[in-house]
Amino acid sequence: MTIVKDSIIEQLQPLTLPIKQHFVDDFSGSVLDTFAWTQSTYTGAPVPVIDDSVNGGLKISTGSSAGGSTTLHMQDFDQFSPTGSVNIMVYKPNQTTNTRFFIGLGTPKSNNGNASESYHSSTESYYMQRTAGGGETKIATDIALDTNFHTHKIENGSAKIHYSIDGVLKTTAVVGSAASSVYAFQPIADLYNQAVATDSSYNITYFEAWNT
Amino acid sequence: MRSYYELTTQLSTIKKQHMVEWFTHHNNAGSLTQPDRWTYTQITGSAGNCVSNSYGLSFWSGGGGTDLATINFNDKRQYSHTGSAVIWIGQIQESNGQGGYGLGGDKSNFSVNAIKTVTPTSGYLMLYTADGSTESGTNSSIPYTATHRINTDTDGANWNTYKLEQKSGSSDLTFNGILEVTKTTNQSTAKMQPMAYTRLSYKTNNVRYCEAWNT
Repeated sequence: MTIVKDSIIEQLQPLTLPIKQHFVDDFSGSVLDTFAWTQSTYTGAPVPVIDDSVNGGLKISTGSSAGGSTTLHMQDFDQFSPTGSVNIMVYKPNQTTNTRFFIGLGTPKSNNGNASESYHSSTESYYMQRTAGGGETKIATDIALDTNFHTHKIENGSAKIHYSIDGVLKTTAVVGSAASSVYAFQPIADLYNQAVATDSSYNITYFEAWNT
Repeated sequence: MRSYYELTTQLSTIKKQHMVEWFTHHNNAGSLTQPDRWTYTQITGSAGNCVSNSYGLSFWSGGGGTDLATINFNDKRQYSHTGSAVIWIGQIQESNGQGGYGLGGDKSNFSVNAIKTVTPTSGYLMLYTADGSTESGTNSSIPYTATHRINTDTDGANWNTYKLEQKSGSSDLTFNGILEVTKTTNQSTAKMQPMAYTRLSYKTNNVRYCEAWNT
């Protein structure tokens, strides 16, 4: 039985609890919301565009320059806790070769490069959970690299970080290692074509993050 | 806390494209939203415009007798012609205005590959659908001058909720929560984007909500 509430937030939690930072982007419209997202380009001329296709969302591409690399982020606005936040994303790789993609919560390379992310790379065989602080840890799931849409959920807790794909818990990272961030996070997506002169691209149809 | 995602989709199901627009932005004539998720297109005529205001978003046609303008996604068409839906809350402002709401395949031609309401200057609210070349309409039971009067100049009065569902081979129009029309002819044959339109000389269409998703 559906319970109807007056507000959207009451569908998510009772008003007796504090309402913390919450962000949703559906990547649908004429253009990317550049009041939320900023692009940094390291090599080549990558362009993120709203895709003119059914369930296209945002298409982010490296372009065909060798070493094509770009990051979408929110500049210096780090509103999400590394030890108390959740992140849900829906994305689709368009290739399994010559590619590397991080998406989740983190800080840009120019600002520590800390992260708690979903990781899809042609140097690996499976989707992976990636955490980064002073060091980096990657844990393989049992989902082989493919070019399908999946729902990725990352729960950043004070002791553990859980990574689920399509509603099933796949991996858990332990907080406290060198790969644990001590900095606050922002939504982030980082793409690289592994120094090969071919275009690497991903379609992102949903991104949600909130503090718990 | 539940996720926003799970309001409409279980985590074990991959969520399809789904957008929500509330049309709440600062007043900036000529700019629909900040940034421009929406695009304003004058199909016929000139001197129309759009503005964020106390209604939500208002857009209007130019001064010619057949002038026609739309708001759209600049032909970023992410919604399926075989499984999608859209909800608009809108208000055709002038008593003799003509306009409507729906999904369309071409920002410059809301009469191809489209599902839309048509609010005529007389008669009944209609569901129109169009394939790649031909459009046709079916009356609802809602007279233009009935209690559910669609036109008004009064802010806060007579806003109406239009839900249009594009299925594989048929289309539904639900008006203020009541299914009014199911239509099977001239169905869209291509991907679509949210669109609303206003027509005739200096006629205004106000919108305060749009939600579209693939089913």
